[in-house]
Amino acid sequence: MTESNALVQKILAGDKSAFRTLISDNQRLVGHVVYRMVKSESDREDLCQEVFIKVYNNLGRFRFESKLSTWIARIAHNSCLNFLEKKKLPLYDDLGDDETQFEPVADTRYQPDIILSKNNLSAILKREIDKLPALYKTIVTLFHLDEMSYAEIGQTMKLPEGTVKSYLFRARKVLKERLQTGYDRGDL
Amino acid sequence: MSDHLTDDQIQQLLDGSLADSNLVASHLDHCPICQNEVANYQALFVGLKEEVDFSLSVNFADTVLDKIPENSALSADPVTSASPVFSTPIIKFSDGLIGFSAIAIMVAVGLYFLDLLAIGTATRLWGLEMLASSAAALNVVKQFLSNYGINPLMVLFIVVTLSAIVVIDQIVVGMKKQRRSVTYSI
Ligand SMILES: [Zn+2]
Repeated sequence: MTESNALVQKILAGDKSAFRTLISDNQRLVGHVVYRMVKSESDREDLCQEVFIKVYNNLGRFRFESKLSTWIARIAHNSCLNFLEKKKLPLYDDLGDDETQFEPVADTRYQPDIILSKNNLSAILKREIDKLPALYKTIVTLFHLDEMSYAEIGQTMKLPEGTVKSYLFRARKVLKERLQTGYDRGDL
Repeated sequence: MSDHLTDDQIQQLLDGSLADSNLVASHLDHCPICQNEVANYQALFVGLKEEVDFSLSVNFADTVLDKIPENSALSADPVTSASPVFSTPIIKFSDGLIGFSAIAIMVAVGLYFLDLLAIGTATRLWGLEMLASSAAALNVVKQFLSNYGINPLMVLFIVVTLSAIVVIDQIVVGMKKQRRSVTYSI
């Protein structure tokens, strides 16, 4: 915390190279949020830029009530929500307890150009994660790639910790079953 | 067998957040079905650690820095920190406003306190025709007002009040403008 405090003070004092450090420390995290929330490839980089400009303009109001990275992730999440709203794209319309909201498992038997083997497990998993509702895949990525706690993910996405946990567990169960389907058919 | 591990238990086990891990471990030792499930989840967890297929351009930081204005106000909190609000004058009177107020007050004072006829006569004697004629003009106004029973003191009061309203309005507008340039919602 003190390290990021020093960084923030430097940036507020006008040190641009300190801001460069902040960007390089957090651009992967911001990229993850934007990648998971926004589908259109052409908009992602612009959105990431917008996030860091907002971070810069609002840094004076950061009160260290959370980790700096969590605060930045939250700005990224809000920016994505604003973006989706502006473009009138669906948000979390796919929320709820009904398992059918998840897209059906891809029937790989009818995709002859995909050669299934243990080696492309990761390719299939990536595709299956991609099919999850934005809320679920964002949580999965923040937990496993950014090693955020339930509390930090909750702060980022304005969700109660318990909700974060139950969505994470449900998403992983669905993913496991989809991979399982492949195993049982002998595809994997 | 109803005692197989639940999905939640296996996930917690792999997350390292399982409370009664001894019970689970002893079951796992003897149950190939659950061992298989754990293996499936393990493969998934390994896969979830793989980086996403998205990366920002190499000069991303430069692009962001280029977009930040050189003397950007950095949104210091206007309440709790030394803010740009107080580093520049809040009130900027227009020259016209100052001029108008000064002339209005002088006219009102002139109408009420000064013996304009005497000034007119004196300045004409000194050859200051312009001053003499303006004193005469003011005297006409003074005469005109008193003909209608209007106290020049009342005129002075109205003029000063109107000026004060204009000045206060200017201050408020100026402060709002400053505040707007600082506040920036996320
Ligand atoms: Zn078992």
